[in-house]
Amino acid sequence: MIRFINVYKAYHSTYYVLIDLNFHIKPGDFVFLIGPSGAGKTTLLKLIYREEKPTQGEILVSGFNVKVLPNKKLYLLRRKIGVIFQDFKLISYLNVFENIALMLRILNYPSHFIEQKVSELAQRLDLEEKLDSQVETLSIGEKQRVAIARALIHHPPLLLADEPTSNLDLLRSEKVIELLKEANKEGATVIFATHNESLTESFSQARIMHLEKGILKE
Amino acid sequence: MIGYFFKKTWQNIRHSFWHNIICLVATTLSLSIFGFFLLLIFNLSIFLKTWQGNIPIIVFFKNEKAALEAKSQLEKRKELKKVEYVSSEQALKRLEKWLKGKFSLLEGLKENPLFPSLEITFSPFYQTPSFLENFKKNIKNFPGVKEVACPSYIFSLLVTTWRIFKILIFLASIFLSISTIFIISTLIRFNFQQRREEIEIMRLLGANEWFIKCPFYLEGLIQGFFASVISLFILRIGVSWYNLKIAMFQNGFNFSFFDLQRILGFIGCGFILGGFGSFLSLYKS
Repeated sequence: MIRFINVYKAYHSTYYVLIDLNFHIKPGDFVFLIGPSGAGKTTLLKLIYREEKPTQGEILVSGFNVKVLPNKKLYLLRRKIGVIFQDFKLISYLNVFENIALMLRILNYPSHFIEQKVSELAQRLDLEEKLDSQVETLSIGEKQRVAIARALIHHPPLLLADEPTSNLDLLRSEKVIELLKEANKEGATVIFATHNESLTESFSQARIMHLEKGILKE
Repeated sequence: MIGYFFKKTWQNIRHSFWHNIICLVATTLSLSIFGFFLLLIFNLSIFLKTWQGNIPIIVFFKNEKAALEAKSQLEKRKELKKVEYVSSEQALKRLEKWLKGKFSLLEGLKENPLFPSLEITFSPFYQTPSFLENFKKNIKNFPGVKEVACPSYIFSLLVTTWRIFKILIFLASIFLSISTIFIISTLIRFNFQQRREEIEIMRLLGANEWFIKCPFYLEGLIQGFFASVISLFILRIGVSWYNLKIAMFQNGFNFSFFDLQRILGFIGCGFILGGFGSFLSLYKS
């Protein structure tokens, strides 16, 4: 599913964020990527969905060689990935329904299917009463749940979650982890990036990868 | 999907409503000038065709016999639409009618000074300045011909003027088309830049370029469509006003408006310019 071969990532040519990463994540794995802020977790995820390109090394994701994938074909890779962004990346002038539905619209699903799927998932994430609300009016926790719903709605084979529970209370955090576990049970590969090591206790079968100052330790 | 694109386009238009209005005004102005020039060409060609079909060459003969003999010979020629014999008496009657109140001018005449003549009109295909000129030379050799009155010079001048006019209008049209494309492409580029963040999010989610750009293409097409329709409306009002207020009272030329085919062509032109404008602005975005 994901293979990193001697991957380096540097900003400003001398400042290395990731150093010589080598790992393989198999389809169906649930991986906790643990590390303090600034360890390079977000950068690593960005490399997977090619928001950033590696400075050196090869990255293979779902059969795509990410480094050399032409921009015109990037969408083919990204459609296979559901990303829960740390900063949510919601479209501010759209309402909750449209933000969640966006992924399905991109994939050209029919309207009645979109409505059904969105309301189902909204119910599970306690968002059903907020579907008509503008994103700008939501609390941070609600925004995070909208971002999670958007990432899960099309059942992607790969899920990247960047601190998905950082703004949620314990109960809702558990709900989110349950959703991700469920997606994993259905076959999705999940990478859960967090600074909170205690979360790993919630899923004993998960693989844990530690990232510190850009160096990976398993 | 199409419904979604239209909804998105409407959101885009609403989001930068005043920019769209300003762009629409500028595009309409540009297309109205373009349409005005096209209308001039259209009317000038109608005028020329009407005028062209009725240009007679008048051949004056020394006597009736020569005129009638020439008539019987000319009538066999297919390039001539009509050969009409006008006797000296008929010519005098026409003159009297033309002079109306100034009839006294003819009172001192003891005999009819006018010659019999043939009024010759040509089939449309042969109504060219060069053919008229050749025909004039040719008919001068007929027996009994006294004089040939031929407006080939005026006709030639008019045709040349029309050709120059057409080239000038063609050049102006190119300029106006470019300016229309420029206005629309600037608007679309501006709207695209305003949506940069949202577009980046869509790209991250896996939207392809078509999904992202389609609403912007539609916006350009809608701009072009409305600008051309409003321009036609303005021109129609202008033509009606001119015909009612100026042509009617000052005995001027009555302007015709475009027929349905040309109206549809003009709207199509607006569409193409709008589409091309948005295509240009998004080509490398």
